[in-house]
Amino acid sequence: MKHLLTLALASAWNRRFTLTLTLAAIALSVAMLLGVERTRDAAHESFAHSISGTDLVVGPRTSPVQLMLYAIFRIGEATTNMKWASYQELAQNPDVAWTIPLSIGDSHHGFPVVGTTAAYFEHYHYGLSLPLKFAAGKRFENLFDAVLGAEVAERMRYKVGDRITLSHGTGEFGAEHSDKPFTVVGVLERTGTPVDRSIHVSLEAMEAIHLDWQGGMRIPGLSIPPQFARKFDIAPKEITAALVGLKSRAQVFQVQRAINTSPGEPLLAVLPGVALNELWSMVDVVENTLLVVSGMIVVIGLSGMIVAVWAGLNERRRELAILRSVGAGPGAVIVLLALEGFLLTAFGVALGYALLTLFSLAAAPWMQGRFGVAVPPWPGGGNELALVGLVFAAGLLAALLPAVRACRLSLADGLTPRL
Amino acid sequence: MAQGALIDVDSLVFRWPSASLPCLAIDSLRIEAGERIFLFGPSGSGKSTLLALLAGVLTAQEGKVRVLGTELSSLRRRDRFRVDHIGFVFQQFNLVPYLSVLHNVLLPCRFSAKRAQRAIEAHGTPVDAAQHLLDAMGLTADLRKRKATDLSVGQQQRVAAARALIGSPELIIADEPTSSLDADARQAFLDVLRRQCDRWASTLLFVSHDRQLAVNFDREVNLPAINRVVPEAGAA
Repeated sequence: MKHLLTLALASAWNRRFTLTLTLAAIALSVAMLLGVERTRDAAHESFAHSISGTDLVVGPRTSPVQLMLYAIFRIGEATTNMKWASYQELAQNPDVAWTIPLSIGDSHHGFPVVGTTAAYFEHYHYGLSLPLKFAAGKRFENLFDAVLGAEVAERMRYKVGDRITLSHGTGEFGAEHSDKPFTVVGVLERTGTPVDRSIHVSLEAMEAIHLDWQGGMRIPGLSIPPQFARKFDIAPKEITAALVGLKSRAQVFQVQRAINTSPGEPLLAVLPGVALNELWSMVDVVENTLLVVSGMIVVIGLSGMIVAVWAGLNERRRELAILRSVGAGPGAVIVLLALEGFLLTAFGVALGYALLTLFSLAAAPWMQGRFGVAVPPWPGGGNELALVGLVFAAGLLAALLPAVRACRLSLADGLTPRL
Repeated sequence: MAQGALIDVDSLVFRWPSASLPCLAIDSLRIEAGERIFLFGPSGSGKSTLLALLAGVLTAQEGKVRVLGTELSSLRRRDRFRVDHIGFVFQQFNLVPYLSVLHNVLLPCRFSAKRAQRAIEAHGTPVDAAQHLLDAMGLTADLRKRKATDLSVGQQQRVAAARALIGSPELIIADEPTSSLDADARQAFLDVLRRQCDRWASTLLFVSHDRQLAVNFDREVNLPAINRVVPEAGAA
């Protein structure tokens, strides 16, 4: 067996240029397959941890997915709002430990603006119970103060002290609240969640910039300068949603039922974990498509191996005849050829791993910044081992094809190949 | 080998699986141990087929092929038997292109413990045995590390002869080994091959279509004369 391995290696070395190309194809396809698998895993993970520590998300009655989309991901617009009175009632529920009000609807260069209170910086957690941290500056104190998510600051190149104006609505081209500019007082650290894309202001500021507005337009002829805004009633009247933390997690279903069946304003309370899973299942198809596509690329890589080994067979018929004359049986011929395919697969997988690790180490910060998700450099779930096992099995099977052909050729040729 | 012939072919009939008529039918062919046999046959007369049958690569449909008293068709490990007892030299392209000269010569010792053992008994190690044989074949030491394909055809044939002889197998089969050599190289090759067969007491079966070479051998076997098939096939 050892001399067959030596022979296989020497023979492969002799055809190293062709085989290097095959090896590269296998390595790249394996790197791609595992990269997709890991990214999928990481995306799911980071998605599932977009928010943590929050027991219930409460908003006007709509679908749970819709509520999650605008309350957590700040995508789309709420069609109805929740009365401030309902929120206060909720906050006073004896089972409730804390609440974060959220008022969503305005934007700045496409980034959502979130009206909230200091409770946001206190209680909003993400990942495995990580609190929000300031990279620079502090929480908002004055009426027209704003705290930026990491991505907003980075992309727009804002820093503490800069002045920004918000736009009405969530489109890129909404009318500007240019008469009431905000001052950046804080920038949050990166979280990998929708917080990074958000601009946080106080609920009062949200009211203030809409003082002289009605029905999505500025009221003609009415202009209230920012310095006078405080003179008006800028106490919040409506919010879009609220995040709720309970004193005891055990109460969660009870409180949820109480909110969902309350006789007052029709409200909806959802468990974020359940709703996030529901949301994720919507992208299942995309996920699986990605996996299928990268699986097909592996098949192409292995086909390349079959072609390379198969094409080399004809020029190796003499070599096989010589080996048969010195005692190599049909079994040895199969082992010799299958070893080559097996080694190609093994080195391909190893090289693919190395490539993926190098790439993910080098590109992780850039990918995280650009796409919000990076390929983790280390194996994630247990699926990866199963995938590698599958690639190995497929590689062995693919290696056997030319090996069996070689065996039949050499049986027919005997000691004198007919060429 | 006193009790029987080294090669004993009895009532052999061989037909290629795809052919309707047999291509070889030999009533009897005996070669005694130590003989230098010249097997003559024009191309297409079934020489290579007969050699493949003697090597156990092909199996006859009828009759018996005994080598060293062993019935080949009843042997389970014919590949092992072949390398243990037979050394081959072919017409050309004898060497594995990606191995060095030395490793080409060592190949039989890799596949056969028996050949390796005999090489060790004679020279200490298989490598020493290979080097000794290469020297005897007139190949200088600087060629040993070279790739087989770097050598001239004549040199390659002598490397192939060294490989056939290593571990002193009982039988050397040389299938047209000189047809790609010029006249001078041909005679030199024949001389050194015969000398080495004598030295290691190996029986030599030399196959060629060139009858002029027959004078170098103890006995000539004319394949068309002993093969019953050829005249029938010619008549049909």
